[in-house]
Parts: sequence; C-alpha cells; structure tokens
Amino acid sequence: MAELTSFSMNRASDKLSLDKEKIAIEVKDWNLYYGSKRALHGVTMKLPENRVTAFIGPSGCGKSTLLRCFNRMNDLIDTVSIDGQMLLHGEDMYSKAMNVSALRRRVGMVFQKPNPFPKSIFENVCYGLRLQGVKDKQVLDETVEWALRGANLWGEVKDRLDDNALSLSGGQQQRLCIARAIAIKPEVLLLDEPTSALDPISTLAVEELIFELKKDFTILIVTHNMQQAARVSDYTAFMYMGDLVEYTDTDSLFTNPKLKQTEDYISGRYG
Amino acid sequence: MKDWFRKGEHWIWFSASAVSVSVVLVFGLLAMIAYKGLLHFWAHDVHSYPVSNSSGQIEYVVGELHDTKLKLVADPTKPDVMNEVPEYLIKVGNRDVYGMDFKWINSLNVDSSRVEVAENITVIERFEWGNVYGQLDSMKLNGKVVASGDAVLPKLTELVEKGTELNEEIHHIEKVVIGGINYKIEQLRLEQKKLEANGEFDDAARVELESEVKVLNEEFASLQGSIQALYDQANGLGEVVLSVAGGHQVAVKVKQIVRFWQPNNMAVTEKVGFFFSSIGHFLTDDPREANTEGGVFPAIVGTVTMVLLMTILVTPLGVVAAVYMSEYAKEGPLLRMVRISINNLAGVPSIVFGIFGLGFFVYIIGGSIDDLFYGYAAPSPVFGTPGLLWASLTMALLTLPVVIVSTQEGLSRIPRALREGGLALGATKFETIKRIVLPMATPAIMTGLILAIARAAGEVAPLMLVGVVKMAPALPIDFNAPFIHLDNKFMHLGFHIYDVGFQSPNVEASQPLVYATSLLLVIIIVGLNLGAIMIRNRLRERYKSLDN
Repeated sequence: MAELTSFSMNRASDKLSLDKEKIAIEVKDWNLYYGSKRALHGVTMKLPENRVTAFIGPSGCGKSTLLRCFNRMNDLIDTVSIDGQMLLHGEDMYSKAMNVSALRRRVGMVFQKPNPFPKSIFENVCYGLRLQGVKDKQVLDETVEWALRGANLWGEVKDRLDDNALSLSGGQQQRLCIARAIAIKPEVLLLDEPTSALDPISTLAVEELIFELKKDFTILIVTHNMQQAARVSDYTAFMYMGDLVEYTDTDSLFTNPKLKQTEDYISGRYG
Repeated sequence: MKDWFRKGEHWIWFSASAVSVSVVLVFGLLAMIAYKGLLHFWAHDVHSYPVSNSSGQIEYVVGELHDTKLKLVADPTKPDVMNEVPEYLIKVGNRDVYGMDFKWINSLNVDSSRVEVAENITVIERFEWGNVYGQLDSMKLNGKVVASGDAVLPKLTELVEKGTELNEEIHHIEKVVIGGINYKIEQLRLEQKKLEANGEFDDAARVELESEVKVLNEEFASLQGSIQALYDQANGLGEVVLSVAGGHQVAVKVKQIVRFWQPNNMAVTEKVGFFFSSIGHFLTDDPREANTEGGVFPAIVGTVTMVLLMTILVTPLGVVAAVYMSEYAKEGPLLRMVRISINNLAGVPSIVFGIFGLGFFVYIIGGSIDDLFYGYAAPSPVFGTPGLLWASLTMALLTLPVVIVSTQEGLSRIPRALREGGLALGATKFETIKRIVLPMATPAIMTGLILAIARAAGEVAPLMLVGVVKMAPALPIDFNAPFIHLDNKFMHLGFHIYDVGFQSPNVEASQPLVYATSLLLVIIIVGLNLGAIMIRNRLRERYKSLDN
C-alpha cells in the first residue's frame, strides 16, 4: 500500500515523454479485419520499453484485439486478416521469417481469466522452460523460485509446489499465470484485463506486482477500469471504435485530455 | 387439479414412471439371471418319486426336481373339460442306463404323500456321461470287492482325492508340457518349410533342425512313458458300484469321477461350501460333453483377451481420428459428411462388420500377409483364417465411432483459454494438444472406451465370422513364446451362451449353464467397465476444479 502511494508521487515529479523513451514495439498504420469487417483502423503508435502502457476504451473498441496482435494470437482465428507493420525492437513481427512460437516466447501474455494448467504449481511455472527442452533440475528450481518471487507468490506457495494449481484462489492463480509468463523471461508482457475476474484485494496485489515488474519487462495492459489505468500505467492509449483516439503519458491523458471524446469517456459521460 | 397440470406434475410423474419401469426391467432381468444362474451351483436335494405306470405297478424315479409345467389333460370323467395338471421334469442322470438325463412325470401318477428325500443318495459327476444318482454299493478293484457297506464312503473319498491329483497331473503334462513340445515341433517344421522355400535348406540346416526335433521327440517319448504310468496308476484306483433306481447297478471308474456329493445328508453350511466349490469348478474348468457341462475357463480367457486387445487397437485409432477432426481439419461440407458417416457407422448392424472383417481383414489382409511372409506354410493359412487379431480388429472397427464421438466431445469441452495459455508460452499447436489438451480429454476418452468395452464384450454375431469357435484347441495366451497367439481361434462367453443354449443336443440339461454363463458375462462386462470407470474418476478428480 505504501509503495502504491509513493510511486504515484514519484511519477508526478519527473515528467514522462514518449520522445525520450527507448521504443520496444512500433506499430505502423495497422489494420485488422474480421472477414470483411474492419476492427482496427490504421493504428500507429510507439510503445516504450520498461514502461507500463495501458489501453482503455469502451467494450468492442478493439483494445484487446490490438493487444492480441502483439503476440500474434489473432493468427488462430481463420477469418482475421491484417495489414500494416509491427516491429519488435525493429524486427518485423509478421514477416514470413518470424517463428511464431519464438515470438510468443519474447512476448508473453496473461489472460483475463486465470488459466493455470491442471498440473502442479511447479509444473505450471516451468511449463515454458520444459517446452524449450530445459531438463536441468537446478535450473528449473531456480527459475521457478525466481518467477514465483517475481510474481509475489513465493511466500504463499513455497511449501506446496507440488499441489495442483487449481487448488489456489483466483488471485493466486492469476499471479501464478504471471509467474508462468515471466519464467521464460519475455521482453514484453501483455496483460489482458488481468484483474477483471479478481476481488479487490487480489487486484491490489496484482497492481503492485505490475509496478514491480516494469523494471524488467515492457508491460502492455488492457483494462476497462480507468482508475486502474491511472494507478498503474505510465502511458495510456484511449481507443474508440477501432481508432486510436489519444495516446500520451497517463498524467496528461487523465488530467488534461486534448480531445473532447477522451474527456467524455474518462469523466464517465459515455461508455 | 388444474394447478397440478399447470405445474407440469403429470409430466414429472410420467418421466419418473418411465425411469422406474426401466430400472425395474434392468434389475428384474439381472435378478432373474442371477437367481437361475446361481441355483445351478446349489446342491439340490434328490427326491424319490413313486410313479405308477400304466399297468398299475409302482416305479421309483429318483432325481432332482428341475422344472414344473402345467399341462392340459382331458378330465377322466367329463371328456370335454380340460384340467391343468402339473408335470414335473426330473433330472435322473444315469444317461448310460436310461438313455436320457431327464424324465417328465405326470403328477396324476404320483402319490405326493409318498414323495421323499431319498436317504444316502450319492451324486457322482463324471467326466463323461453326466451325473450318476444312486446308492453306494461297493468298491471294486479288478473285479474283486475291496470295500462294501459303510466302508465304501471313506474309501471312495480317499480314492477320488488321489484320482483328482492324478488327473490334474495328466492334464498338466498333456496340455501344457506336451502342448509346448508340439508347438515347438510345429515351429521347427515351419522353419524347415521356410528354409526350403528360400532355398537355404542345406545339409547343415538339416542336421541342426533334425537334431532339435530329435531332442524334442525324445522328450516327448519320455513324457509319454510317464503319462502311461500315471494312466496305469489312475486305472489302478478301481471302480465304485452304485445301485440306481430301477434295480440297475452302475460301475463308475474312480478316474472318471470329477467329484461326488450326498446332497440329502449335507447340512446347510456344507451346501454353502459346495456352492462355492461349484462356482470355482465352473470358472476354472474346461468345458466337457460338447460344452454342456464343466466350466467356461477358455471362454473367459478368450473374451477378456479379445476385449483388451480391442481396447488397445481402438484407442489410438479413435483418439487420433478425433484429434484430427476437431483440431486440424477445416470446418466444411467434407468434414460434416465425415462426421455424419461416423455417427451412422455406429448404427450399422454388427453382422455387417463381421462380414466386412471376414472379407477385408481375414481374406484380403490376412491372405496377403500369408502370401508375403508365410508362403512356406501353404496350403495351411496362418493369418488368412479367422483368429484373435481379426476378431479384435473387427470389434475395434465396430466400436470406433463411439470412441471418436466421445473423444471429440471431450476435446470440444476444453476451454479455449487453456489452449491459448499454452500457445502464449511459445508452444506449437501440436505441443499444446499433446501436453495440455489430450491429457485433459482423457476422462472423455475413457468414457468412450467404457461404452466400447460394453459393446464389444456383449457382441456375438460378428465374432462368429472372424475368430470365435465352439471349442478352441488352445488358449490364445499361454506359456509358449510369444505368449499371445494372435492367429489362434478362441472361445467367447457370448457365443458360448448361444452354442450351449441353442445348439446343444441336450437343451434341458444345459439351460442352467446358460443362465450361469450369462451371469458371468454380465459380471465380466461390469467388472471391465468398473475398472475403466475407476480410472476415469481418478482422472476427473485431477481436473475437477476446472469445471467451475
């Protein structure tokens, strides 16, 4: 709790600006179609490294769709077609040469509903490592501990790593999913409404965790809780009907929105 | 009342009664089979019926009451009135004396007050000619009486015990040891034919094979010697003489006796003991007398082996097909058509599968295998003839739709979120299916297998065409490498029921056996299913919290 209040104060003191940031992902004129329906309209944006960027907007505005473009989750849907460019540290994420599995290892994702595998806590966290063929018990042990500590879950589960992950509470499960995602040390972490299925206490725990994690990872978070966006993010993008309406540092967006549309939304006049 | 209808109570009552009727039918059927089947193992009292024949003389009929039927008989005083008169079916045994095991007697000819539980009646179960019912008279050896009167019973008990031991020893040597030697000799003969066919049968090979055959033949000869000795010993046990109803005397060689009992002298506890020992005989003995007597051991082994082999064959095939259809194949008219075909396959009459199995598996595939690999064994077929493998494959085909459909259902129930979770960690689609989706679908796969087992174990018609026989010379599994003989013909409980119940020369005698075999088949199916259900429940336990 103390940390939370202190970090919002810290942020106010040094003014953020996209121009000064190192860029992790660059999106250029990005369009996405479901069949013939266009869901994203020429989105262009730069996402800064080691920062938390929040995507807000009313339901159906395309924020989740955009987020799922960053690890090519939309590839799984047959009807989706895309055009535009998306660069991860300058590399074209959608080029033919790009290995999708390798890309997804670099861009981890945590989903709206906690989705631990029906295996032990330990196996859940080291799942990604096992996929990569890591068999060394010591490496696995160390990584699991590191990831669980990173996800603020170590203290709660260290004595029952062999228990089924499904025996954990919802909040613990979500932090386990975060641990699972960070265990393979991705560059970018996508969080798709990670707290919408959680109670307030668990939400707080996850939010604190996000603040901790941005030291090591670039974090992109979709949320429809504007207070949450204001609390955890450095930059915020407001989307509406598939358009990126306004994108700037969080303080400016919430205190001094440039567009009337943004102001209406954050003040709750529609949505 | 209007309210009653409005609430739909009549529908609730209607469906509840439909359920009750089904439950009553199922349990009624099971209870009837169980009662009639288990009754077969009980030591029934033997009664003596005084029957007056046409000339007014009294003849005694001694035996077990087997069945009672009502017969319409014209009233002696008023010819146009028909009376229902009970007729008794008595199992009198002594087939060698009377020619028939059973006798119908009309209750009008029996003085019911004089029917009595005959004293000291001994029932002897023989390896041939069925049971003997009679009173012990004497023991003879080489025509000389060695015991008579009260001394007969202890002497008989002692000798029968010895005889059983000798018979078991003979059976073991004949079936297992000599069977093994014959199997090896046959293998060597085939080996020789194979070498001849390949033109590799030179002098060295001839010498080697001949020496091997010689060793086996010597072994065989020495065994025959010891068997002859055992036979002599068994013959040396002598015979027991009984006086049976009708004033005849019957001599039974001790080595011919399976067991004997005196039902009328037995206390209830002894009868219970006898009941369980009868069940033991039924489960472990070979069938005798054209399957109408003895046990069903080979049929149990055949049924279980076939079902397990079928399970091993159908599981990978069904699961792989289901995975392809629900995970990889593109939705479209073709896939829809395949789905419809699979669902319809489940409704094809099983005999059609049997004919397909005979035509395709046995003649085409089996024939080709013989041509390619066993040409040297011609003209006798190895795989080009009905056998265990083809029966299991046919059954696997028959149950394939069930496994595919339930696996598909299981796959479709796995939440999308879990697949995405796997993919998001850098797993390929294949890895996600292998490590997450399939393990979670195992309970559904098990459900499919349970249904498949129930169907396969109970099926008879197709099996008759592809490998089941009335009497198999050898078990499909034994101690001769490779231990499971896929080309062997085998016996099956379902076919056994049909054969004993409807094809046997002595239908009355075999009826209880049919019930007993049916009960056993039901128990085996339930047992196999319970095993599968237990595995499924353990798997479900693991994934249960996913459902919320």
